[in-house]
Amino acid sequence: MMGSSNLYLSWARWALASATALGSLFVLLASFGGFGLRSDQGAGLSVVAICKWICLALAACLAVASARRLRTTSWRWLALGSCLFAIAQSVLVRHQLFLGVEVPFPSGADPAFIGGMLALAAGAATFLRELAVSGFPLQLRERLWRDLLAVFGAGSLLFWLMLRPLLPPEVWDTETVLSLLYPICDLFLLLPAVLLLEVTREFADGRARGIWSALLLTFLLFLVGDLLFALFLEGASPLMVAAMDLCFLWGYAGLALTSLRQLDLSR
Amino acid sequence: MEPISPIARSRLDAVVVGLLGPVVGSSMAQAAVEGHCRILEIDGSEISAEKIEMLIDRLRQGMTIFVGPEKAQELATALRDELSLGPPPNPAT
Repeated sequence: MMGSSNLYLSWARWALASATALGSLFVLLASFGGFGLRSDQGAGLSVVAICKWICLALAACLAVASARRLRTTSWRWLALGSCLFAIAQSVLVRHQLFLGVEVPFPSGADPAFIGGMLALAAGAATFLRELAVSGFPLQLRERLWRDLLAVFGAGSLLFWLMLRPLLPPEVWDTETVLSLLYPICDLFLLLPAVLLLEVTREFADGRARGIWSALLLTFLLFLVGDLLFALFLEGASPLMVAAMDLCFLWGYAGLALTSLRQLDLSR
Repeated sequence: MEPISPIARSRLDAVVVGLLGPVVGSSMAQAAVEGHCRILEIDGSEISAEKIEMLIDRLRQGMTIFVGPEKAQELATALRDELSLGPPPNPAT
């Protein structure tokens, strides 16, 4: 039993590393026009989309396994979030690879991505609540208000400086609302993530820290990726597309790594 | 069953930090023992076996969110073994 679990985790680790490396290589090749590749069409697009899907499929499988093993509400939320992300990426892959058409924006993937982000935020917040009643002395209540102020202060400033000038007041179509909704959801992810960062610092030399640090890194990559997406919705340069692709690819890999580390710790 | 003699606080600290430290970090493991001892009103250098049982149970519950119920139970058993407590008492008897 233990042997098959080890084999499963080794296989997942290998698949995750391969998909991340291959996807990153193709993103970089496409951004510099290597081998005539482009990340928005042809083989470049297909490989990057499939690599992202592999990372998310692994994240979903590993998160469901973690939820079954830990039986906590936080991991059930995280598993739901990972599954919704995998479904959303499947919709994108279907458009890009099987229908051969450009993905419309908005598409069926967007509600799944937004729902996934909210589920991940709920997972991280629920973990903090579970941590607060676990008997570990962490003073979460005192930290909550300070971090709440810091995150929403920084978030408002970021929005005002970066996104507000892009919005003429009369244009509030679905596209604009959705491209703003993504960074807003990222802020919801960031608050529990910042609290987690503080909390996990207390677990300095313990393996539990690695799990929640990976989740924090994932949330940060999502935030940067979504900001780039909102800022360069139209006419993004190949370099910006590459940066966006790398943020999402590595973010999805981070999501899978979070569950992988949790399974590794709890086996 | 032979009564279990009280356990020295320093030994308890060392055992808990040794077993839980790799998971939650040594300073957090130490802080958890101190926190639970305060709640259970454990003071002095020696702790009764009954209080130790309560402490282990609280630590097991706390570890569940990090490693799941099975591994938390394994850690609790390992704590008992290290402290030479034997199997947990049966609440029915």
